[in-house]
Amino acid sequence: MLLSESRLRSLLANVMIYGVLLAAALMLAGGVIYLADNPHAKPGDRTFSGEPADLRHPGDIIQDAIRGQTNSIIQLGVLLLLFNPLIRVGFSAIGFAAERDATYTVISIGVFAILMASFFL
Amino acid sequence: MNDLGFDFSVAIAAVIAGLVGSLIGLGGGIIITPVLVLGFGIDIRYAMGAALASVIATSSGAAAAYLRDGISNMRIGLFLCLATTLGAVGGAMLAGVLNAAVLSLIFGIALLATAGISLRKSPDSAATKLPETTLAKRLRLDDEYPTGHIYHVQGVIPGFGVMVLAGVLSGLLGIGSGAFKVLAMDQVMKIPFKVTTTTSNFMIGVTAAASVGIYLKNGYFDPVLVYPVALGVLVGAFLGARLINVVPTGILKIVFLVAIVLIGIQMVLRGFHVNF
Repeated sequence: MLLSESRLRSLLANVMIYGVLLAAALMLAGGVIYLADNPHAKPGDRTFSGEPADLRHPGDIIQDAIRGQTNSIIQLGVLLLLFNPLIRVGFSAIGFAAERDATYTVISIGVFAILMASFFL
Repeated sequence: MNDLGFDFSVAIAAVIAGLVGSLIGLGGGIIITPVLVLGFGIDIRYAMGAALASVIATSSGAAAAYLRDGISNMRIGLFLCLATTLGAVGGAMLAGVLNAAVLSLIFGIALLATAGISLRKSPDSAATKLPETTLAKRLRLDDEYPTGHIYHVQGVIPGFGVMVLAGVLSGLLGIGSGAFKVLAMDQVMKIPFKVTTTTSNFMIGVTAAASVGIYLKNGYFDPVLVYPVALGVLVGAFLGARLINVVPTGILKIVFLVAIVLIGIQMVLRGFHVNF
């Protein structure tokens, strides 16, 4: 049986809220551990040098976060934030497909594809 | 200053930016970036990365609330997201080849434009009876306003074009570019104001997400900066949503828009290497 539209909307709203909360919790946890480990380190944000390679690639971030590297845990929180808009667009595609709305199923998949492709540019 | 003090002051600044942003109807992103650059001396690219993360966080919270209410027009939102995400990918790639001074200059101009858009009185386009257009009909963009009136979407192609530009600005500057999205829907497409703002909220997070992969690859996300900024703006926006019916937003808006104009001028001057 298909979910009714209002049930789907409310389910989606919950997924989005818990997604943000989980991302925020990861960032907070990573931040607190980082501060505990480096209470006197100088912030190196004033001149731009780009972040090290292991903080730039989703695969490395996930691996290092599992190993407990604080910077990667925070970065994983950032990646998790992304999950949210992707879910929003993905669920829209499913919703329009269920309504047999071909035009908007294609449009939703198009937006989803652009978001995914932006990771491989 | 050690990290503890630094992170704490950045977090406080972010809470205030999120609070002010939600009270006067702007995103926290366009406020926190100049604060980080001018107030904390942080490189604009790291500031943009931190702001982009906070934009996605706050817009997801807002979009979840609107989704429950069911006001946003999903068709218009998704159709226009094609324009904004494509623009954002282009803008984020362009940001990678521009230097900090040029980015500051463009940021300052965008800030001044945003203040100008926000000062403009927004007439409700729903009041005017407009004819149906062929493209809007084919794309089934027309919808019913909560009052039962049907609105006919105008200028689909020019609106789509302005949305590409809004997307470019989002990717180029790490902002949600909500003011430009509202401008496109309100002024060009003549969509009722209430639908415009909620649809814009739906679109902001999706648009900002299109830049994340490129910002990540270019090293704009400094985790040590991102967490106090994103968490601070999120808390500030949450407080703002609670306070919006309590505080006199009319006066606040004018005071803060004047401040934003001054900050915008400083960002432009910074682009020309004039420092204070």
